[in-house]
Amino acid sequence: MTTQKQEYKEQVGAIQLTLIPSDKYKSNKIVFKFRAPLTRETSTKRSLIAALIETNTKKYPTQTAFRKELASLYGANFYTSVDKKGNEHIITAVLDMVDGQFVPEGDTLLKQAFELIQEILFNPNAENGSFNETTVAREKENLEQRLESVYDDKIRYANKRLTEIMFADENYKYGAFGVLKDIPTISATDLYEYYQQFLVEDTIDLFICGDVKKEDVLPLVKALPFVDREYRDLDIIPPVHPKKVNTVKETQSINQGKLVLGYRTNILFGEEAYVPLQVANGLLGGFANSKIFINVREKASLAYYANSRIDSFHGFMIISAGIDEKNYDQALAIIKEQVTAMQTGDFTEDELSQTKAMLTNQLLEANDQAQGLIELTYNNTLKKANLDLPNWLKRISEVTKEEVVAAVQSLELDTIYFLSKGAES
Amino acid sequence: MNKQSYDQLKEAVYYEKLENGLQVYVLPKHGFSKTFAIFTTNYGSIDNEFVPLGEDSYTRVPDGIAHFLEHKLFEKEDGDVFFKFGEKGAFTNAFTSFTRTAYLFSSTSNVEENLETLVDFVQEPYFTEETVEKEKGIIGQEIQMYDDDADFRVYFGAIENMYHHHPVKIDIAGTVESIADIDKDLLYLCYNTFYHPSNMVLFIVGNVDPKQAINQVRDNQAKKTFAPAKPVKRHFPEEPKSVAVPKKTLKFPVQIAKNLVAIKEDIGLLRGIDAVKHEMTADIMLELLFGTTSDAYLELYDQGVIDDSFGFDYSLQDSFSFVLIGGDAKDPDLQERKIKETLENALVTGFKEADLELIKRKKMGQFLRSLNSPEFIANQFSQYIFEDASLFDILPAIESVTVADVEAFLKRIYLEDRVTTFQIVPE
Repeated sequence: MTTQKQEYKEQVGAIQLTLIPSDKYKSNKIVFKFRAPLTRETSTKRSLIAALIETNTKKYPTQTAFRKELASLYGANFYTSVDKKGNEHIITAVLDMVDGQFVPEGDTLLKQAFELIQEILFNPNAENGSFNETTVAREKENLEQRLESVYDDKIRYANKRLTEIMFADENYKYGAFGVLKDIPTISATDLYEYYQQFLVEDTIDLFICGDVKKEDVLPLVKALPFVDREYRDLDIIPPVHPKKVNTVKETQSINQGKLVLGYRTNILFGEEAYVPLQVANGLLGGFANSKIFINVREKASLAYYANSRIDSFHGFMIISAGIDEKNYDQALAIIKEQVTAMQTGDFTEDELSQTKAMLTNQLLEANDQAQGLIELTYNNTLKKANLDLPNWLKRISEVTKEEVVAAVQSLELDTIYFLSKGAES
Repeated sequence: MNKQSYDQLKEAVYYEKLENGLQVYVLPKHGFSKTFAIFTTNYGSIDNEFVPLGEDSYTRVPDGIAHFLEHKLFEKEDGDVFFKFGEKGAFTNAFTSFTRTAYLFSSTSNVEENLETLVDFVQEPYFTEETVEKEKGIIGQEIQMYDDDADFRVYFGAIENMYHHHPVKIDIAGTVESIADIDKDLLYLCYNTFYHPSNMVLFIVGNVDPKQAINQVRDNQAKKTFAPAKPVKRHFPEEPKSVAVPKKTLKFPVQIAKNLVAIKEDIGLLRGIDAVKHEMTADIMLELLFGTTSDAYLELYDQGVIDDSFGFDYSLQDSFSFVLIGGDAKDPDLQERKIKETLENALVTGFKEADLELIKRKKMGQFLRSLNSPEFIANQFSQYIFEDASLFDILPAIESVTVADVEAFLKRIYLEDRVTTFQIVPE
């Protein structure tokens, strides 16, 4: 019978290691989180670094050689991503590989994986104080293309514009992938220089999830030659209260209008009001039985998608809907009505308990996946919160109607953004 | 109840074909909180011409009706089924593909009740004129959302280029015009024809006891009456082997062009292990030629002809199959030419044993890792059941592919009149 074993945490030199042992998976997941303050200057460089380390290394100087090595480790996958949480920029590097017990000659797979990780992180494709010029040129071009292509996905584009407008006075306006205009100004030497800084300064968390033992893993982690450093606490964001609602309308030749509303909540992960806000969000627009979905889509038949989500590390909520542009006023009015209704307590205990049941389910499901478990653990580490799974579930069950109303009352509408073809004006 | 064990993988699947023809499968996943169940009918967007249950002649129904029906099944006299699942903390959804319609839920508690709700709501249609009309607004917005989606447009454009008449070329959701013709009688007509238990598979994976789950479904079905099972007669228009349009370019409000090369295959009906082996051969060939470990990938990536968005896909269904290769492109024509050159060169040079072995190793590991996902298991397993095959045939199928298989595959599909290109370019 499978059991969830005890998590294990230890500061190993520069690395804060968390081991999440479980024998329900057929793979082992090794996840590094590298964290630094979010600034314009570094975000583009960090996004390029993330791209470079998943492309090649000194020993595997071409993408083909690198990918062949991964393929020979039974189709192991190595990928990086960039992300922001509040004022922090995070590079996530993941090595996902099949557990050795399921394949022939699998005994040394974990050891081989760590050798590869060391090669990736400490032996990049660089010489004479510069990353390989050709690789850098290629990845700069790719990043440009990626940033430009946001324009081609209208839902993402509308979200990006809302973020830029709403956080115009904060570093949060910079995307995790960096700033398009800054790419040409960065050279292969600049990048290598920043890479040295990244290696010694970033705050590092490492998560290993799978059927692994502490005794087997610890020596492998210890062998990684990171220099010691202090574990830097999260930069806390001061509350922001908008003075007036900023409405911005833009046009493009598209069929469906994209309506996005940004509300400040100023409620962050782990705070007392956080779980009530999460319940409020579920009830307002988090699920298919929520207020916005029902009233905008099911009753008024105005949209296919209509939802809300909260940001746990910057304290805001975003409501989005895809609508016909002639229905702008009606859709906006319905959405605002739903928020007001919730602020005045216009919802039933049944709706509340249904939302709690959905949230509970969502959390349990997320934790069936190694990635979900790791993210939850990471969030708790960052915010020094104690919302581990059992505590979180317990807190959800205790949330009262009054707490939900108070959480919705914290919503302050900051920005309304609408993208449409502009035929009606 | 039957059981099939796969000891090497530490997995076992239990199954039973009920009296009314419904196939029920259970794969227990110990240690998981979640149970995922998917109820699939062998009916998709391409099934637009068929003999309705109890009739003798063929009927043509409006495009997009299978998908419309999927939306409408959630609505009942006493409200939306979403609520019923919601009360029990379950997540529910549905999707329609070219060939299947599937309804699903996942939950970490009240699994028995949710399973009952899933089976009952799919088997108890309730359509009224009023709710059918209202749905047209919602689906109209869904169609418009996809109209703005460049990736979706290039995918469908490539399929439209390949087919002269086959309904796979029609958008799964139909058009705003075609769905205007849908009414409740047509929905019942399609429902009664295609939602017979003998045309359906129920797959449950997760934290469940197989015996108990199968007993529950058996009891549930015993309480209901269905017309005697009869195979559905479907009609597809005669489809030429060649592509309909060799190339097409669409101007679109994008920053970066998109290119997709499609190869239309003519293979006919494949079942069981043959179908799985064929599919694995196609996947392995595409990996060998265009995967990240291939020479072509590196060359094209370094030349800036392709980027991370580059990919490929092989689709095999009873009445159609095709290969798609492409991605974002600074110079879409150049990307098209390079893809074709890669295929042509491989026809001459063939494939290397060592490369094949590496790809087989990679695919094996990927398959094993994918078994972490209950959704993957249930979706893929259900799909293979309709092909009289098993998801666990994949590992032996990968093992069995030879260099000769891959070479023969490429020779058979890569013919001049079977290739087409669809591109989206900035306005």
